[in-house]
Amino acid sequence: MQNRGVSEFIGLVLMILIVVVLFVIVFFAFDVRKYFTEGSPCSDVKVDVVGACYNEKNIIIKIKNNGDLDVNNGFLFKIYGNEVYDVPSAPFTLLSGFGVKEVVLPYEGFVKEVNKIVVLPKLIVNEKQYICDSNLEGYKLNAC
Amino acid sequence: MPVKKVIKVIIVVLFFLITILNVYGEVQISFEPNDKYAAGDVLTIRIDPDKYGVFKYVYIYDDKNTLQETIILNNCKDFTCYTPLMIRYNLPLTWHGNYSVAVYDYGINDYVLGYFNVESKIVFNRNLKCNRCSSHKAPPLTDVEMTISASGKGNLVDYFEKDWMIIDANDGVVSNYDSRFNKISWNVDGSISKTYIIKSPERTMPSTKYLFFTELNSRSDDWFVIVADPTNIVEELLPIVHTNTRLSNVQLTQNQVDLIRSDDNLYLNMKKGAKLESELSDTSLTPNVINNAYCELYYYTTANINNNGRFQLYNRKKGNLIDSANIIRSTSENVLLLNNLQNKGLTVNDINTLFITVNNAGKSNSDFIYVDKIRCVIDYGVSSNLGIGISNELSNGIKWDIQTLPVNDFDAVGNDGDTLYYIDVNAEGTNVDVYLKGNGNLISGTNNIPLGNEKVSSSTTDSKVLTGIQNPITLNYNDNKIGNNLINGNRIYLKFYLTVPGSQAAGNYVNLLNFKAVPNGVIP
Repeated sequence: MQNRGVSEFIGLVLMILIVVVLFVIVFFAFDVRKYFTEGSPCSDVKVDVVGACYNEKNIIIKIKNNGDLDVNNGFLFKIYGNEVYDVPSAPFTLLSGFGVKEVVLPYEGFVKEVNKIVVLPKLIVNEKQYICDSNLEGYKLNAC
Repeated sequence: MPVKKVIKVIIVVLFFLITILNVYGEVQISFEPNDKYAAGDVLTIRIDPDKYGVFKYVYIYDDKNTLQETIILNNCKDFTCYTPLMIRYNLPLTWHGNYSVAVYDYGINDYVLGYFNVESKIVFNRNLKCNRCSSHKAPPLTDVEMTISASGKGNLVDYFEKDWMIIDANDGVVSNYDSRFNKISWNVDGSISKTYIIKSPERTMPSTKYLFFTELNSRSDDWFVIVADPTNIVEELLPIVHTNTRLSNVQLTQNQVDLIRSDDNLYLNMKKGAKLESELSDTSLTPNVINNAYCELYYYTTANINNNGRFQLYNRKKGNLIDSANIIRSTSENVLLLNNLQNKGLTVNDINTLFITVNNAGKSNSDFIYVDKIRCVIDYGVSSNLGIGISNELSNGIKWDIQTLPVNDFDAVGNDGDTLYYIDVNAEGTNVDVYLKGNGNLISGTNNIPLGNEKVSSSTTDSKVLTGIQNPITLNYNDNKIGNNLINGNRIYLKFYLTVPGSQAAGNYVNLLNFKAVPNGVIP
């Protein structure tokens, strides 16, 4: 009887461990952050900032797509001010291949002086989102 | 281990893991009480961020992905909000169809959309038009042009009490409804406005308030019309759509103004620092005395408002302050009253230019004032019998017999001795001021004599007008007051003079003079 009790407890623990491990594998396999930075299609994205400035209300950035691949899910901007702030473009922001677009982001007082801005194009390919951070050099901003 | 027990364990473990996944998963957007709203409702959105937080800017799009509104979340750390948030937003009356709320989740670095639906809401309106009618008042036994408007599809029915009589149904079908009401109906589709003519009943003592209401799929609010003596008018003045009607210096739309015109429990949101300003609607009558006047602000506030803001009434935009009051905290609807305005500097000349402001001087971004309605009620008197009688000589025209030129301040023919030019005042119940103006130069063909060369002097006591000052006649009544604070039966004696230069061509020169009597103190 005693042997059967220990066996059942071990079985229970093993069962929980198996479920947890399986869950963790699935969790990371699907990567809920959907943050992919390397490999195709990011290598085909060639986006440049052709002008940017900020005032007390907005940060205005003019972006040019030098490749033929559409940026179909907007942009994530890293604003280097008092700290580094991640600011997304508005929903449904698209930049077609070889297109130019002016994006207006909100500026708030806590950002203080904006030193530079990094543009991360976002693509969705085969229902998978890619955030392309191949160009982290950034663009220096001045007051408008 | 038994199979049933294994399954139970797996279910329990998965439940906990899924709960954890929620924390590390993506933002949850939900609507309260559900995702179905009517235009004008308060949209309530609950946002539960995951541990990575959400972007503080939330966007609302229509079904064509056109941006409709941007909402900035409070209580966030810089651009990121981590704690559950509740958004309340007044849905504009113009919205209908499917909409989406877009919240950027830093966990998945993408926008998450929540969808809701807005049903259009029928907005009823009514306008009364007649001589001495106002929104809620009509003189007895008068043909009133009644206009009702609504938007929708179906049978538009207007109900009126049987003491009123249809004069012109304008293609509407008139029929009996019950022992109290008759009705008039039209089949309509879309946004419509229907007008019919209806005769008001005899005046009763005391005056009777009659009920009107409209149906188009739903029933309008009650609309009362009082049939009363027009010499004493109670008029409701509400904010109007006007370039002077602004919120934080942005002109309000018709829908926004409608929110603060109607007692419908829909609110105009005023955030910290916001200033609402509006001119009030005009009266159609000429008042001569204000019996009573007050203004009301219907509002509620968030919890931290405490005397942070003022409700102010001016006699005109950038004019004199008549009265004001602090906006006190009230988390349920409250009415702020500015009363006895007639004793605080409000005059009959101010009624058509009244100007209100409401400002939110809250200290925090979460300090809101919600304005439901603004109204001013003016009880004023008008003269029902006001006029002038003109002497025969004056009504036949002012004649000049000039033989040689030049002449300076030459007497008109009727000036000789006791003047033949005079005006008799007819005024019951009020004192009056009398004005005149010219319609232009004296003209003969292509030649003219400037109006300023024609002068007038007046007296209410001296028929020879010996002491009257000769004033040049102008194009404006305001410049040519010839009688002040006169009573019924007073006579104004007038003499006219003309200056003509030597070079003036011969001819019969003509112009017209207009006379106007108004209650004392009223701008002509």
